[in-house]
Amino acid sequence: MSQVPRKEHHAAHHFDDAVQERDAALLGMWLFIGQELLFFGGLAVLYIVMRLQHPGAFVEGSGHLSWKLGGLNTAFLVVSSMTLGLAIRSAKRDEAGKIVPFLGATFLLALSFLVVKGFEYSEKIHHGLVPGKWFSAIGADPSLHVFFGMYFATTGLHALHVLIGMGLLVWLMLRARRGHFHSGYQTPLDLVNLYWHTVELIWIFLFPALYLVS
Amino acid sequence: MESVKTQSLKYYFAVAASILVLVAAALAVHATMKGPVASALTLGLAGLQAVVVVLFSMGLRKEKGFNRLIFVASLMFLGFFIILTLADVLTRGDVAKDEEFNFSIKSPVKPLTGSNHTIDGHPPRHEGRAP
Amino acid sequence: MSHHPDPNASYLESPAGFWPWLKSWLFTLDHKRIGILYFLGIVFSFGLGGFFAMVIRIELLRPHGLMLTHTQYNQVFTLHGAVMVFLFIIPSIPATIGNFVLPLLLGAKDVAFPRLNLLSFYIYLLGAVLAIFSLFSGAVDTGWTFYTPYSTQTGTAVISMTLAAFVLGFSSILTGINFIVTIHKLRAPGMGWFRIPLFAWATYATSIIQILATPVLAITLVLLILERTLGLGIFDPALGGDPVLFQHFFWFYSHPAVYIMILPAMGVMSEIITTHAQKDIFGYRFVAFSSIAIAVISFLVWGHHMYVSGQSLYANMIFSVLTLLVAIPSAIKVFNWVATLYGGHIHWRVPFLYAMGFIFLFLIGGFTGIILALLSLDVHLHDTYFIVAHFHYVMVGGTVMAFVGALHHWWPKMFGRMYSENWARVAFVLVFLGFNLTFFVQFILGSKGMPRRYHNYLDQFQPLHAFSTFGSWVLGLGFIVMTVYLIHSAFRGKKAPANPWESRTLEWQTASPPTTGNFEGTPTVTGGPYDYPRAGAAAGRNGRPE
Repeated sequence: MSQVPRKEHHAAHHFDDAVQERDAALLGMWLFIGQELLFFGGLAVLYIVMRLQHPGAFVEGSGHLSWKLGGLNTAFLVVSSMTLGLAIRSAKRDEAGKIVPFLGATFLLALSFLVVKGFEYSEKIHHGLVPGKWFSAIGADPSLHVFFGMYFATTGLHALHVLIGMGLLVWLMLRARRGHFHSGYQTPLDLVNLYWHTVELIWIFLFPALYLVS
Repeated sequence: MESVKTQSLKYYFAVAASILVLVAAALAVHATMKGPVASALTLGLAGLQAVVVVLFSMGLRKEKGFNRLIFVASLMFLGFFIILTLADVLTRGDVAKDEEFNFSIKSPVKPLTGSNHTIDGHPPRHEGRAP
Repeated sequence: MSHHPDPNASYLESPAGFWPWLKSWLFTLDHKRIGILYFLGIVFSFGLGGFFAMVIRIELLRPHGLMLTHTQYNQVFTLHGAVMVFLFIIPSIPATIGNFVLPLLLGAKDVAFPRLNLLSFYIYLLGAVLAIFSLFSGAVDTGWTFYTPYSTQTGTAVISMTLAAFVLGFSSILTGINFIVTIHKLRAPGMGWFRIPLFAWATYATSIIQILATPVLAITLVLLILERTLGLGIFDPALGGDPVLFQHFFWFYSHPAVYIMILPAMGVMSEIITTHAQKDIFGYRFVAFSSIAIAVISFLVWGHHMYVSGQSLYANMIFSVLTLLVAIPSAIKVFNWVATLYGGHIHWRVPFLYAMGFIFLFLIGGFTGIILALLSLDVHLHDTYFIVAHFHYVMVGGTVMAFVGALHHWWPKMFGRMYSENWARVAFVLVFLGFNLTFFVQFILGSKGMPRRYHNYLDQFQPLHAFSTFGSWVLGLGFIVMTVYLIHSAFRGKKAPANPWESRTLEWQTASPPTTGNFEGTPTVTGGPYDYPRAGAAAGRNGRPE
């Protein structure tokens, strides 16, 4: 492994020191996570109300989803969170050569998640199990389209967050290659880590809420 | 340069493994049980997974007090949202119950008939409504 | 970003030549310049929204319309509401005055995340462009509330306007995050939590709402767009959805948003009153914590917009009781401002006039709010001009008065120039008078049964409508006078001293206009923000005679 050059970090001019800068960044990120929770929280409220109003549709709709593929995707996200944590560990231990491989593994796992999601989507679209305006499947419950409206809205917004996370991972890999991260500085890694765990957190609830209804 | 203190590799494996065990437990519940209890259990297990992620992966266990407060406060406001919305939705009365189904005006769902009683391998769980 | 300004030169100083000048503004990371950029955007939006308001009032001169079709009328009042709410009033005080003043008040060199700050300005600009695009692509006619199921059916530009509001929401969230982190991490040495000027406390409370309520607006608008394009079946009753649920979602944001509008105005009040009365605030902690209390309670009261929507009676009762709670912290503030005046050395300068105008009009807006919180009365007054008058008394009488007051208070600091005190008084009288002429009669109109958002009305309402329209011309004239003397002042005004009002807060302890680096060295704080010398022997620190 070629030696990665180490680039020292200097705090921006309006901060007293690097500690203050790091604390400010983490505080900002926690606030951002707070707003993410309320954003997806809106979907949670919607889910609760819709499930109360159309219980049969959720049971029937959930039967159309594959818990195997959903479970596989859960595993992808859980392991990707672990590899991202290991990337930070490597930075803290000054093992610069390991940061990019761990970030790359995280990226590939996120990509696998989206690929599986893509297969699921195309299968549902093929059977006409899509939101109301294009819904064309046969069903026992007349509100079945509401379940698939919820399914596509929630998983679609979540997939968008995964996509954004992948963009952030690429940015981190580019910076890591230039030696930006080491025992003296890992703030961007920590911020993306918090974001990525939030994405994982949301999926943890989406999986039983959509795939495991009976 | 001196390294910063880090967790052992075991720590990361243990966190991921415990989440996956909880996921497996939820799948087991799904395979063996039915009804609202099963849903409550699977969502409860998801809650436990979330606690593991928040406390150990995101490190809220060791975070500064105010950062913890932000997280808790966000959940609290979400709780207000859920409770007050349900205060309306659950006490609205039975306008819809006498209808054929809730607000059924133009459902795009094609009703089941004798000739199309299975949909991509999943048997229907209800009797179809009269066409 | 090639321009590296001298930290000890005035922040308004730019490199020579047009393009370098433009670049130094468009890529600036200086919170003061970003505040000025926001100011320009907000003044433009206010002009646009004001234009629509004038069209509405002129149209209502006659009971059966004057120049617009029914659809055009619906579009005009929707655009008036949407532009004024999303483009003007929500960002008005936080983004302009807050950006400019907050770091100075705290003794900081900048906000915590300067690049994020510039980004949030450009997001605001993108939102404004989308809003204007929607104006020319079949202007939306749903009312600014976008209620379903009409908003899923109308042929007008719902998607581009909701997208604009969605984008503007992001700008608001990022500003909120920036301000909370700034207040937490960048206070000058010695500035403990109870030495922070009260404007910062108010900004803090506002930011909490911006961060935790705005995402719900974002998801609501995303879902509305999806409902319109894909037919999710969640809000549209034709597909099995619940239209009242949309109202829950919308007001979970939009009621707290009312406090995004009024809380910073309350913060401005505390600054203006203490400075121009040369007096410590009465009950600092009560004023500070009442801001936080208002922010928290604001999340619990949204259902009072929905008393007649089909919401359950039990929910109505819960929301009615919770709504009455907001009166407590609001009253604490008003009592404390009035108590602050007792025994002060009051200078009746223009910012102070606006502060007094605020208290008077906010009282009327607040008291009618209590009337409307009561179920028995609201069922009659709902969707009448009484509501229109009530929220204009709070938003215009409250927030706009405070915004204009803040503008006059900090104008010498922002531009380093004084304005004409006499012309400013003329403008104040016109605005105050014009506002009351326009809106007070609307209370009467509403209580007599004139519904809001109607294009045609019964002949017997014409005199009151015409009176209101004449009032709006006086109000408009007031703003025109103000625009003229402020533009004159910005270029030709008398040079302002560093501290023309002899204020004690930190932003006045540096040059006017401030240097790019804000302060020479880091200021150290040794006392409270309003430690004025005791005003005469007659009264002591908290107005108690000695």
